[in-house]
Amino acid sequence: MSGIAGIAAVILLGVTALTLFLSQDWRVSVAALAVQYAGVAVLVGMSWPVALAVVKVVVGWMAAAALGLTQIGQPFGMEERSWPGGRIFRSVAASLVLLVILTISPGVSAWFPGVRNVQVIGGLILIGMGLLHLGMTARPLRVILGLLTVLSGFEIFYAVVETSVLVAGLLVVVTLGLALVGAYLLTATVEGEQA
Amino acid sequence: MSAALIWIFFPFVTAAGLWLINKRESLTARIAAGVSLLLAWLAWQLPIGARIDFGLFRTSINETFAVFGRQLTITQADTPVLILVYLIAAGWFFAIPFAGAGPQLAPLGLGITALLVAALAVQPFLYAALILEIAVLLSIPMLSPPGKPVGRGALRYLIMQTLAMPFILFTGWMLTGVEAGQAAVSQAKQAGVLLGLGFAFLLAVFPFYAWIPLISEESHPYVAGFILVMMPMAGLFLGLDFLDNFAWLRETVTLYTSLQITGVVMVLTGGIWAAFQNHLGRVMGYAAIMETGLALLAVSLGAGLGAQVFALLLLPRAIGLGCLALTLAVIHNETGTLHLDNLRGLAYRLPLAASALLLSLLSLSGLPLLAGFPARFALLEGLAQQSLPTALWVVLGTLGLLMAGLRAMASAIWREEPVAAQVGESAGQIVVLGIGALALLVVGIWPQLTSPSMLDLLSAYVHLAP
Repeated sequence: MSGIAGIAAVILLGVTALTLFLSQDWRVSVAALAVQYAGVAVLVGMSWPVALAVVKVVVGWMAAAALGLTQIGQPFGMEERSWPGGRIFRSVAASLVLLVILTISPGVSAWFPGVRNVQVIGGLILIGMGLLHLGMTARPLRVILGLLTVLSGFEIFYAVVETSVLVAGLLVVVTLGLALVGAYLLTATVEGEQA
Repeated sequence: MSAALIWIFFPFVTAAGLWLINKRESLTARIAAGVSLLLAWLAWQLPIGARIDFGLFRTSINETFAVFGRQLTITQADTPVLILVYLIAAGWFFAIPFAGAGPQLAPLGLGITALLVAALAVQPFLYAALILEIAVLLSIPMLSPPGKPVGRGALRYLIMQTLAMPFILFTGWMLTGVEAGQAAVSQAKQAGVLLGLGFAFLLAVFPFYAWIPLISEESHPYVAGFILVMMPMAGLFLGLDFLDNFAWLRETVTLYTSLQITGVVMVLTGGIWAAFQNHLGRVMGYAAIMETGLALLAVSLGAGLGAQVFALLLLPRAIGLGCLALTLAVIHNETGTLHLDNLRGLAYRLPLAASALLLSLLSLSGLPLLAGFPARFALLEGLAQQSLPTALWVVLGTLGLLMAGLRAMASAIWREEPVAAQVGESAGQIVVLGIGALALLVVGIWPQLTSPSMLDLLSAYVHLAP
């Protein structure tokens, strides 16, 4: 049962990470982020007690809500000049990242004793796509989405080696803090553009 | 009572209270400065872990404060670090009203200082990476105040510092396995690579330092200066913790070679880029990069001498960058610009600011009789004994910053037609600039006044101290 759940979570993470990377509509991006945290919780739950893993979903949804609420009233598109044009280019870049992930995942598994393959692939998908995202944007919302994606991938790996409640709490603070900083930067940007 | 309550929770709660009244810039700055000064004084006077008698009343300050199964531990050996951190913070907050740094700096700065102390106190120490990340998040509203478009520098700073956290956490876990002898040699190498990447992001090591000149240009210079002094200092102390705790790491020769190469590249590139900058904020950024490079070079000298030079570099760095940031803030407030082209004749309008600018840049370049010289001299001497070319590259880098200082001076005294000299600084600005300049001279001429206290910082690092 957990095997099927793990595979489903990896597929979910792949779809949401790709959606976050390709979508130009903030509503779709924020929704994808919220769904992404469900996949993260499933993979984290393979190493942590379920009650603790559920915190990931709750915090992720709070982060998505904070970012979404700040964007209400803004145009749906988030076009940017520096964004490389064409979905084909972005799809090819994402495909290359996925290819690299599949290639290096057996090696990465050896680093973490007790890690499952689905956790490795899921974590690497998020880290790889998040870094790709960060490398191609200068917009605050996209930067925050990229950082949250990278951190989610890291949290999947770190859950395998660390089960401390303090670490879980501090990671919650970091995730929520990033979302709040994102909300602040989005508000400041709008105020700055209006000034 | 626990030490963490005094030096971590009390300032953090005070910072939260100050945030509620942050519209009153002068008041919050004075309270933050007073609290920081009080905490530095308490760190100097109160014995941690021993009984204290107040007449009939007896108490003791416990070293450890438990949080969710982990500890915040502050021992007597940590008090020199506490004194240094809170004295720097007090000095910075004291000058806020004269620098016009905005209402965010005092409350957020005090909160960040408390978090940096928490990062130094948390056990296991690798959790410091998480606390430093929270400090980074708190610093964003200072760098990008409301009503101002978000700069690229602030975003890159956020990205780089956030990426540092996972690397350092993983490294801490891996190194624990290596230290216990459970890991293979290959895992030790992987840990080394991850450690290098983590600290490269955290300390803005070449080539990840692009955000430093950007925030120095885009943000208020006094705020940027605070970040450039406090955050790398915490990162460097965390690095020392790694070295002190893991014998395997201390005995890796490759580490010292890598640190030396990285340090030289940072000093050289920082100095050369500084020489060609037309924006004084960016010059400050490159000076900060050079200072981090010098700290890495000091550590590369190894335990004993390296640790001593590292400790001696900290105070000149703080005073030099502090004085430079304050000067740039005064110039920015009075002229509205930090571009050299627009600052011609500055010495006739703001003579004290122009003098302090020159003094601080010369001190950061390591000129004799100024604060930066004694530690720089010890560093160059140590480097020359190991590798003369390395020392010469460092001298070349510092010449670049010296060139930037001379360009600033040339621009400041340039006048196309005779103008009447005037003192444009306010009385308060004259006082704080005078204190900064005096500190540069006193520490430079009489280094023996501060050196013993700075060397006491090493008491917390038993494996690195001579």
